[in-house]
Amino acid sequence: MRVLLAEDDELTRKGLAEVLTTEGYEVIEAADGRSAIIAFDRQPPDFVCLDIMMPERSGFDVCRSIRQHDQDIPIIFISARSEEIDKVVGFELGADDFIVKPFGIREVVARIRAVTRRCYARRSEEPLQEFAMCDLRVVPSELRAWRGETAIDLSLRDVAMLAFFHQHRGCVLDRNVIFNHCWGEDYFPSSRTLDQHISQLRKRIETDPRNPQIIRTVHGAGYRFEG
Amino acid sequence: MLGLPLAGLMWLGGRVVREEDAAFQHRLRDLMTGQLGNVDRLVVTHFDGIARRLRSSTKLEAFDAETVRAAVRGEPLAQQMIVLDAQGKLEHPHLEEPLNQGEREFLAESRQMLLDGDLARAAGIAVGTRGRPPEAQETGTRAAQDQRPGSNQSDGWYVWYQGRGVQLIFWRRLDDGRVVAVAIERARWLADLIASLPDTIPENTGPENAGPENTAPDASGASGIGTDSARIRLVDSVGQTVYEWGRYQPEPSEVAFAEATVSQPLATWRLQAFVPQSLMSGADRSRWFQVISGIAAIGLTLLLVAAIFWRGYAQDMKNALQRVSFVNQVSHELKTPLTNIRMYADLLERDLSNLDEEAARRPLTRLQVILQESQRLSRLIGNVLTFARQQRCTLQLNPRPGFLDDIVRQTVQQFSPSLARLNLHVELDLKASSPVRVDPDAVEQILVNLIGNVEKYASNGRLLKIATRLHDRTSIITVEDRGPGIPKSERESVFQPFYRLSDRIEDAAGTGIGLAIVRELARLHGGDARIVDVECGSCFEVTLKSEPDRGVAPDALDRPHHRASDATATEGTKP
Repeated sequence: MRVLLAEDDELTRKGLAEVLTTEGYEVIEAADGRSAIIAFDRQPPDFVCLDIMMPERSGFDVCRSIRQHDQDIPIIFISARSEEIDKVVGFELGADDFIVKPFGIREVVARIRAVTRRCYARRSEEPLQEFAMCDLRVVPSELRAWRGETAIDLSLRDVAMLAFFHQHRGCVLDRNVIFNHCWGEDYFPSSRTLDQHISQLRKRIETDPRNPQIIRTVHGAGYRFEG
Repeated sequence: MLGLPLAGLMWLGGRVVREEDAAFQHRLRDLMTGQLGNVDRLVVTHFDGIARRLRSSTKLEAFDAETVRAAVRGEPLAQQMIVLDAQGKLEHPHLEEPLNQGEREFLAESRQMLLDGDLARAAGIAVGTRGRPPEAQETGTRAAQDQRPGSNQSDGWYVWYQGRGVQLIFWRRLDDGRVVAVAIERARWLADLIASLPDTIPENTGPENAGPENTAPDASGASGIGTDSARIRLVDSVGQTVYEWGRYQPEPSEVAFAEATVSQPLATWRLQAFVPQSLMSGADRSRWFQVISGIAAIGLTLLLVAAIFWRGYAQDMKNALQRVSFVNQVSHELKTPLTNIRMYADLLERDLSNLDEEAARRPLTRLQVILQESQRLSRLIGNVLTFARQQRCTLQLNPRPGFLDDIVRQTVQQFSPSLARLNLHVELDLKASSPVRVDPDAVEQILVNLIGNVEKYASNGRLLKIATRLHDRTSIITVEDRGPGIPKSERESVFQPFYRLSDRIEDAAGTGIGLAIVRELARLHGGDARIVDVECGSCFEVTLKSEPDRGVAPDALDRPHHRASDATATEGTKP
């Protein structure tokens, strides 16, 4: 899933891009309003994160311009101006959500996941049906997994990875294969990135993370879902 | 505050003025009565002069008609002379002798009076009962004496009334018992009397005013009242004005301000004094002026004192508002670096959580401080911005369906590290399980302020208890602690902006706007914030009027806050 991120403060933009990438999104960065519109036209994303106060063109301008091409694409505004008038104008322009500075990444993640669920809902082609892994029921359109009545929030990447394991149940998957599928080929993370990600995922989906049942480690080869 | 003492002063002033006014009226009446007395003395003096003169003109050699007629001719005042013998019998003009024109005219008028023996009785002659008694006098003739019958006085005035008015007769009893009486020409004595009266009313008794025209001594002692603008009127026995003077023109129906009777011989006449309203009210006005100027002076002093206090207060307010305004301006600028601090601290925390637990423990603890402090800074900035919006009247809510309990859980989660550090035990009693329409950001801000206060002022109580419940269309949140509590007298004031329970510097953490914001946000929700009684510590109760959101099934609601704060299901949670 592709996200257009327009934010003039470089640190904020890089940080948000990292958060989004970790979540599993492909991020297109723009440092001002004009390049955001150009980037949007060149490569239409699945949703847009817009800072309001930007050089060249304001976030509101960008939003108006995008709405001329696409009435439905989810747009999240990021702003230091929490004034209601901004919110009203934003919602009138068809903003789906607001992230008010200063924010923590948990809030950003929560809001982005919510918007992603809406993206799935509006997409005509349903990407993935829900599937089961051991006692876990994974619902990709909700970005959630359920163990009984307990809901577990998942990132886009978590879902992609679980789906990949589910499709290749019983197979030992090499780290590079997983990497290429879930991160993309032009992404060069450190060697530990995948291991760390799986370790974090296990903490949430496994009943006992020290003795994983869903994603098992195959020493020297990679990981495997027994099925 | 200022009105009450001023009203009291006005009332007292009014009383003083009324009393002063009454006293002034009394004094004016005394003064005018004195003036009338002076006039009366003038009249008395005038008639004493006449009497003196007539005493000598009635010293007759003989009592025959010729001698008497010569005496009448020699005395301009005399209209006619009457001689009575010792028995009171009319000796002149003798009815059986030929009479001249004047005598005939006089007798035509006075015959009855003479025949009745009134004059003789008045002059002290014992007259028999011959003739009719006085009460049966003929119409048009009334008699009055200034002397009682049988007195030893040798002369005096006899007054009788005839159609034209009062008639004066001066009588003198001679040694041989005869009585010689002089009827005085009415027009003459009246003209002389009027000539002897003043034509102005003397102002007062000051020596510089005691000119020849103001021979009357004024004993009243009042000065500066302006009696010269009054009017004095001499009125006869039937109420006809005989003579009047003074600048004032009274209304025809006006009642006299002061009145006195004239001494003998004009005892049936009256002297009236009229005082213009302006003289009384003028004095009144000057009193009022004095009182009002006095009150105004006191009022001004009070105002000045109030202004000094107000200035101090206004200066404090102004400083505080300037501080808010300034912080408001810089807050937006602060937000971008603050965002980066928080976000990168979050990212760092995430990185650390991938490391070996043992190695990451110390950095993680320190990072927690950075995160908490940046969150605290966020909250402070949020408060200032909310307050600034409230001051500009642009504070609005953005209500949407949600779960009150979720907002509480999420906010408490935000505080959990610092609550744990302060060793504050959190007790949640959440019973608002159905969705309601509130502004989640506003509710979070309310909770953040209330929990922040517990952290700041009541952490020694070791307990933070938060309860929610729904009652009809009202959501109720209570935040309770076991801290020092808030005195009853302060329970309203704490909601005032910039109000603190203690002004000691060491207690003065925070901006002093937290509770004001709590109340404002609650009131925008149609509810309120107040402090309720608890056995120990303090308990803030916030009510929010909210439509229960029946249109949306709970499952259909997006609950990002709840999920994000759910420790068991959130990515990147702390170990």
